[in-house]
Amino acid sequence: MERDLDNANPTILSVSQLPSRRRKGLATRRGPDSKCDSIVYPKQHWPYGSGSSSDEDGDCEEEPVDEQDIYDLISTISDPEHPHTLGQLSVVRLPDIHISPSPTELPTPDSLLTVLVELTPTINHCSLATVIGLAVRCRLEQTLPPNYRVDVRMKDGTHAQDDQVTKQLGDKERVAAALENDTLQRMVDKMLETCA
Amino acid sequence: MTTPAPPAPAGAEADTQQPPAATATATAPTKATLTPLPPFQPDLYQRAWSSIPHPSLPLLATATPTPRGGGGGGANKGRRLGLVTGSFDATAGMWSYEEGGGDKTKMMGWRGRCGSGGAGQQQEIQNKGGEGEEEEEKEWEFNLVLEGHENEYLATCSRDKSVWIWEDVSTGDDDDDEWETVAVLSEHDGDVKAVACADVLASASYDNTVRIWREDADGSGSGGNAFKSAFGGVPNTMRRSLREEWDCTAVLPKVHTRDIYSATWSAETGLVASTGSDGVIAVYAEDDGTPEDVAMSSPSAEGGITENGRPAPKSNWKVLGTVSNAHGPYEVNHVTWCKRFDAGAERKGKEEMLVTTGDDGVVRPWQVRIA
Repeated sequence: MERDLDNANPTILSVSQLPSRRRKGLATRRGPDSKCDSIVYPKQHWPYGSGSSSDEDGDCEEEPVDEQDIYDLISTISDPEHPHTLGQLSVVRLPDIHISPSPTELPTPDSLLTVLVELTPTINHCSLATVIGLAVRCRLEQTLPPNYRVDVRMKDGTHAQDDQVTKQLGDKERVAAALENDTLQRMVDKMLETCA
Repeated sequence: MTTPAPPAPAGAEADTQQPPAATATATAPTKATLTPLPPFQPDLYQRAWSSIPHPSLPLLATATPTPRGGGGGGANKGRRLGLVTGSFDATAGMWSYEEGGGDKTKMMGWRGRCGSGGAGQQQEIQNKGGEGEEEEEKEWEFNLVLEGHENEYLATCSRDKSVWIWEDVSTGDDDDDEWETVAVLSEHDGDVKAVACADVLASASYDNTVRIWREDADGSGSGGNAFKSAFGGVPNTMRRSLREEWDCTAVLPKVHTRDIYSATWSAETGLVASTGSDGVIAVYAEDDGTPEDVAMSSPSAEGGITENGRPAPKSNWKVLGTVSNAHGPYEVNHVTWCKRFDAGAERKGKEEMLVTTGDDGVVRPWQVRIA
């Protein structure tokens, strides 16, 4: 990037420090030894986070989505100004992802689930916070079934204008309009390249 | 996207024509049952933002995103069967229907700011007149347009924090459609998301305020003449009503669990319906309202924000009925009352149904039975 970086020296976690699904003990996890060192590819059972796009429309009823699944979906998004993922930069943190109610308690398949993701920008005046939030929202809306409602917020006190950013990210029309802006759309596409 | 329709799909429902009638049901309702009617065809297969019925004819226009530029909202302009749309591409488009000929209705071409020139009777409205430069084009989007009073004025609101008032200055010749800006209202500090016209102009903004605008004639004009006398060929005479105090007389019972996207008031029955992100449709009625309360129907457009000047008593509202998952798991973006003209209607042209528009691209009518 030509312009000065908002945050020239972010704290970066190594891939092995990122939260992953060890507890479920599922085999075939391809983690830190992956060839792309900077990119996490948590190969889980979860069809959406996996590499093959043909799974995109697969049904998700078999296994309820949990916070780790959401984390895996969005932690691999690239930061717009650093060659790292949002997980590595701790913009996305597993404890800040909440699903309610629990997907196991759904009375009908159409019942709504709310996914709340609180983002922690690397510095409190990061001008790219909105774009990061947009990419997270975009990623989740593209991959989650239609009965999921996605709320993306800035974690309280983490950003100078967290209320404003949160408000914009909650505005459906604004989000839709933003994604019709070619520049923003390209930016988001680029950030999501590391997800698929 | 597989939508068969060109730039702005208009799901036109055409049945037999019936003149509109206005008779209010005066009995105090206690319960409303909503039954889904067959959805309008064809499916749009993409998010649909809103549907606006024609005030008197069996026509409904639906706004959806288009391959380039999205439909923000639509409004009918009755006199010449025109339709006005606001779009994310920073243009407001005006559409005209051609009556007669083979089809009952036919949409003429449309010329948007970025689009190629189309033939037909339409009018292009740009933001900032001719001042909007190319690079600014994407920053400002018209969100919604609504017909003005007497169909001579048109109010558009925009993300550039302004409300523009347009006057129809066409000579009456059908081929000559011309609009002039007569006022620009720019007191809002945030995007202006919606405007509604009744006796007053109300604008709702991202700055968390609703502002009420009235003519600048010190209250000499009233009612339906407000807009007319307000403009009278003199631009920039709209101003915020500073002397008025508006009281919130009621807060409807809480039904929704997520953001409410749309609410609609029926001038016919006084009932209010709302919907939103939770996919629930709710119908409300004023509880034990005196007959005047319900019948006090000023010539209002939808929205019902018109209790001006009247010391309204605190009123109670109750929920008559709700429907969950109105569009399955999808969000419902818009709800409106709409007169029924179909064969199943008991009182054709009078009976009202609800029409909801959802993220699933389905426009769904609902029969409302009041008991």
